[in-house]
Amino acid sequence: MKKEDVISGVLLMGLSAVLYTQTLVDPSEIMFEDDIDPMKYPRMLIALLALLGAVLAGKGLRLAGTVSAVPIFSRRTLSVMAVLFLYAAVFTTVGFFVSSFAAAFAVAFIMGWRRIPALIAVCGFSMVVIWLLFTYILRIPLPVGTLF
Amino acid sequence: MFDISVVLSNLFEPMTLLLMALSACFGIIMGAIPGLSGTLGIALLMPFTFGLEPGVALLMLGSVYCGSEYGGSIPSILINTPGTAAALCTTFDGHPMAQNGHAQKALLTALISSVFGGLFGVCALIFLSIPLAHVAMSFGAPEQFWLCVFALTIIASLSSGQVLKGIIGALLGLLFACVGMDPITGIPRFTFNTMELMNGINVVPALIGLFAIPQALMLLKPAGEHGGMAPYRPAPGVFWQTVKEFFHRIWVVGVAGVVGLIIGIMPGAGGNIATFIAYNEAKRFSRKPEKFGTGIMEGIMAPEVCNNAVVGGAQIPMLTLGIPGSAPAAVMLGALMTHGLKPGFALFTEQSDVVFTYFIGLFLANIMILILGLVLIRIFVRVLQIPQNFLVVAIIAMSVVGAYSISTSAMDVISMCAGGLIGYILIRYKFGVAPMALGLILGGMMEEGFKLSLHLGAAEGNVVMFFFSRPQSLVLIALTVLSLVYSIWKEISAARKAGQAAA
Repeated sequence: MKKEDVISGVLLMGLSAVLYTQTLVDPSEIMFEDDIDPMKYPRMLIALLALLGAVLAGKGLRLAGTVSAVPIFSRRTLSVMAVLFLYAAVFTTVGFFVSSFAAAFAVAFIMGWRRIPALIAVCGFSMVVIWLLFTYILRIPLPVGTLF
Repeated sequence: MFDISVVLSNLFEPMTLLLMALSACFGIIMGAIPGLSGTLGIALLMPFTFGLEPGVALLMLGSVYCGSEYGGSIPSILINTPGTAAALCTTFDGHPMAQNGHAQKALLTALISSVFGGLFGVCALIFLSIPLAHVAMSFGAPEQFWLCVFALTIIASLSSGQVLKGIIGALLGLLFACVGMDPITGIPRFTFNTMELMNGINVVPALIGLFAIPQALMLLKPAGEHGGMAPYRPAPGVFWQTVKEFFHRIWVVGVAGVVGLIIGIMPGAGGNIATFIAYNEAKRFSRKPEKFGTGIMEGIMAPEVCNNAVVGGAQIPMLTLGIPGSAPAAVMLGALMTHGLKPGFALFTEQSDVVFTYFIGLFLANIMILILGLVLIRIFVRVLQIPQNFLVVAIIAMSVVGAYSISTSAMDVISMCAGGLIGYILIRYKFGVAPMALGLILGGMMEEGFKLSLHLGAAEGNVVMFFFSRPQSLVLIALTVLSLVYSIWKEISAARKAGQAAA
């Protein structure tokens, strides 16, 4: 059994089921009688996705067992992803400077940089350069937010 | 027809030239850093081009593409690690030549070959695009649908080497393209009752996420070992000596250029496959095939001419049919559409100034790469020493700020992050991101073709016949079936061989 393929196949079938429930609309919502059902095309794709998911899972079951040496999500990857999502979530409310500085600092720290004064200087300098580039050269306003 | 004075005045604006030079530099650096790529460079630079004229914006992205193909050769030669997948073959002779004390000659050979390959590809782009655009003019709605199906199946089968996973990736992309209100009835689809998804998924931030974030996360892994940097000691007179020797072997440009062009035109094939074929063909045509792999010029010329010829080749179907020939061309297609340009015959008639500014600009971009390569080579060599930690932080910051700058919307930043997470999972489960990206880009066009064909077929009285009986449709269906059957057969025979070897 090839575990990754079985998991992917099952997940794809589950995703197809969830997406299918989203295609169940009241036909009276369709504005004109001669319109083609807007869900026909996505349903066709979903059916195909579910079918191929099943084929992938079946194929995985038939193959010899293999185990990936590297985990899909290491602690580092998960931490960086968490920082990324947090950064995206607070980017507009907290503002560019504070959120970007904190995110850059956090990512570098997770990756093993421990020279704090140098890290603060590099992150601060990079943010000023990016801000100047956007504001004066590209003329794209970056979010100011509540803090800065 | 285009107005040459408009094209030249667009092109020779000091700001345009400066932006092209900076983009080419950026591309060379992206190519030179192992783990980064031209696709990532184009995805990251794309949001910054939206305020510019479409011709200049395309030129910036094109310069990144050309630059990255050359940049990939620098680490191949100096540290035996290809900067891009297409530069893998350059390690075969490039690194041995550098280790023999001729690093400067190897780098110059790669530079001159890249420029010649690039110019070869641009010539082909100019001369082949217009006839192919005429063919595209005869395409109706069903052909539009089948063309998308063909593009998706071929990229799915060629990009990741796993047909089934590639097709699944493409299907996911097509489904993501359905998110938002149906263009005809206005019924919301896959919005999960959130207002933010009503307008659909913005393709550009999703592409940035798909290509940039997984790349950054991959760099978190410990870097691969390489055997140290070969000594680089520039000496005077080597350039002209290399030029002289290059012209003695000019036949390699013809062989590798044609291979790069043909494979570049094939949707999804890209430079990775092409360089191997070009290297083998050059070896086959050579009088001393046994010397290949020991550090000879032909062994550097063939892959470098080829992967740069692919740049022009890959853009021929992209500009004429809306089908990219490589992953960077797929991202460029997204940029093209975001600038309101629709590939096809109309692009060459209604936007001819933009197209020809781009074509002539690509010529200039290659010349710029030659100058930049000669003047800034010491800086590009230094780039190899940038710590990976810094790259991760830089990619993440540029992705977030770039996604935000597209329409100053937080939703775009969230789309980018979601795209990044999905892209990372797809790569780790060996699905590849290129099929999904192409599905996302072509989704709208494919659905439009499908629905329009249903309408027209119903009006003619037979939907099935309308889909399957037109000659152009039949050719596209045959090509789709052929590509699928060939890929499946290839996979089965590879599995059989592996089984026999294990037994």
